[in-house]
Amino acid sequence: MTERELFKEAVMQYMVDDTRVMRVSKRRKNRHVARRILFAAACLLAVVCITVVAVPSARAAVEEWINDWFSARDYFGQEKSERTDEPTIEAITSSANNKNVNVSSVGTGYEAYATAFDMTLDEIAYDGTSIFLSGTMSGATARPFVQAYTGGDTFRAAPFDGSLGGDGSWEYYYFSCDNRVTFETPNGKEFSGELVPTFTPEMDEICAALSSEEMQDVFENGELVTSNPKADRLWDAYLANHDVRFSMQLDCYEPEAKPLSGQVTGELSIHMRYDNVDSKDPVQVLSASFGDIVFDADAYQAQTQTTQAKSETRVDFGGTHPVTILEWQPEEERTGDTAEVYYYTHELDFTGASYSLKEISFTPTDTKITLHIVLPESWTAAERCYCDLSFRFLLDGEAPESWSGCPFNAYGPMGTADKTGKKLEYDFELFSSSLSPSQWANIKTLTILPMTTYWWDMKVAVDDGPQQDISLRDGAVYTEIVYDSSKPNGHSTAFQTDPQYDVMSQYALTINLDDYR
Amino acid sequence: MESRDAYFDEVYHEHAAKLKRFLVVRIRSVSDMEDIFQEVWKRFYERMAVLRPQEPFCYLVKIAKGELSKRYRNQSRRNEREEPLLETIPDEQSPFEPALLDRMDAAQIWSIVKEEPLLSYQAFALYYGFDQSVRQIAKALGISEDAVKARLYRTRERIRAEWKGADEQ
Repeated sequence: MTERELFKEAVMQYMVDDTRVMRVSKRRKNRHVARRILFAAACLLAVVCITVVAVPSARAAVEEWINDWFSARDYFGQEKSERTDEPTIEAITSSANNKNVNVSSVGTGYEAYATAFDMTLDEIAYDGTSIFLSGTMSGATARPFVQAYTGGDTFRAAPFDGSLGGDGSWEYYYFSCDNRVTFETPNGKEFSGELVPTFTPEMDEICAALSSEEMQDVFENGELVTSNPKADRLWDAYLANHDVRFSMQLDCYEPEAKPLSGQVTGELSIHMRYDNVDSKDPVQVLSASFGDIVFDADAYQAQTQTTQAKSETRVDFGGTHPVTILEWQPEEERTGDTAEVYYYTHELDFTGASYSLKEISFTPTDTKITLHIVLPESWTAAERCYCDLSFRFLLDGEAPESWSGCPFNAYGPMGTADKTGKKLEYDFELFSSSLSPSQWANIKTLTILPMTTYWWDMKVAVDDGPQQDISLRDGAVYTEIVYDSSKPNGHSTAFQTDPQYDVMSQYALTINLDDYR
Repeated sequence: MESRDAYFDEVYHEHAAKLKRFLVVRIRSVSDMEDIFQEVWKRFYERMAVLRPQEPFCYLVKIAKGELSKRYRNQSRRNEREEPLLETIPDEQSPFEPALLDRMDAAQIWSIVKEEPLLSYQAFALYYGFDQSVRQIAKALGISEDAVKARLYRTRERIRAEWKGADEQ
């Protein structure tokens, strides 16, 4: 090997550990690191997941909107006597016959925990996509699950070695106990997810009492005894006298997976472990099985109503409306790895554009709306591809209370996504509603308001340089160089915009939802 | 649609080297290289759950820029000052002795390079790893061509000295 070849090998093989990068990238999020930061910072409103409940100041702020953010898993997490009945969910729910869990293997040092391990299933349901389960676990069993949100003596620590990222000033990585639940049929179809404890108001008070305090680690002989002694005392008192409810949502991650059908039997199991630094194996806690569980995978069909739009619901657009386009440079024009994005705002003539309702689907746990959009031939391919046409909604004539003004958590695409310009039309889907099925059942009319997003001015800073005022008026185009292989410096761009919204109420479409139930 | 993992692997194999080249000129310390590279791929994998970008590499660069911005947002840029050339860099550098070359190990060479100052690390990676010319490296790093040569020379001589030293022990 020549010197040059050897040095090249040194760079390409060892600059980063590709195998490790690929493996770590595909791993589930290291919540132990995120939680450490969360507790130290005391508030991360952007984290829209259950870790928010551990921080009461954040919880108060988000409670208003998180309370109207319906999720089927959270529904199952509530005690039956305390939840607002959702008839479509109850219709697909059956008893899991109080199936108890049996431990099948135990990690070294977890024998006492395994001996006391006690979980009982309560309900099971299948909505055509996900399997939902609920149950109860003893206080002792719940300890590592609830302490994941507060710290405590169920945490583990490993000396910081950089293998999991993070700040070089850290001394340790902290790990809460992870769990993975799987449901596997005899023919190998697998659903997986996580067991999540339900926090009662009393448990929330424990989190509130801990949130304003820094966690105080206790180490003995180099081993972590607890990451939060106060949490241990509070959980000791609560868990000695309380069981804890839990819920799970299990999903199948096979692409193009078809819904289950008929009476479905499969084994439900849970595996608990602690993650670890790269050079060491995860620490196994235990594996346990509920044995075979059975449910009716057809029940959801009676609670699912998908209705194509019966009558002509097409709305023809008109007039001109401002739209800011972010157009990617055509591939054939690029040199090497260089790519440009062109920002421009056009007053687009919407003559020839239209949208219509294609179908509405009410499932036991969700509501999904599909619209069909046609864009004018007069637009360029880029304008059709990147137009970012979106929608707002009125429910019985009123704007929804949810914070985003749109009662769906998932929607798109934002244009034809076709750079060739051949496509003039596409389906726009909205699903994963933040409203519950019973809330939808009480809504009589849905008004759809198309909307464009645009801005005429923006501030741009390149390579941390001074901000420049950029105008997109009078046909101006701002070119961002996303990557330029010949000029690697000078192409880091930060934007500050003040987007405006053209809500086209004159092209509203009001649907009578009873026609689709 | 292919599985998320298969798609991720495909994109990684096709674009990892280019992303390394993109990042190496933008990092502000050697230790940031692996961290930022890892974070970019983690975020890319997370987003694969809901989309397959039409331009995977451009998407990776967007993520990388975000990560770089996040990391360095609160730091003022501190450029290493160009060290003055205190010695004459020979135009023709003597090759490594064949016997020494035979015993050299790529992993240990890299461990030496990682300890070098940032600009030397960057110059070495771009020159030997990504086959960039001295002129390209000079432009990328904002230093003179002579400074690039000096840094390459010094790193190379340090590798030689460390291997020779180990050999003599």
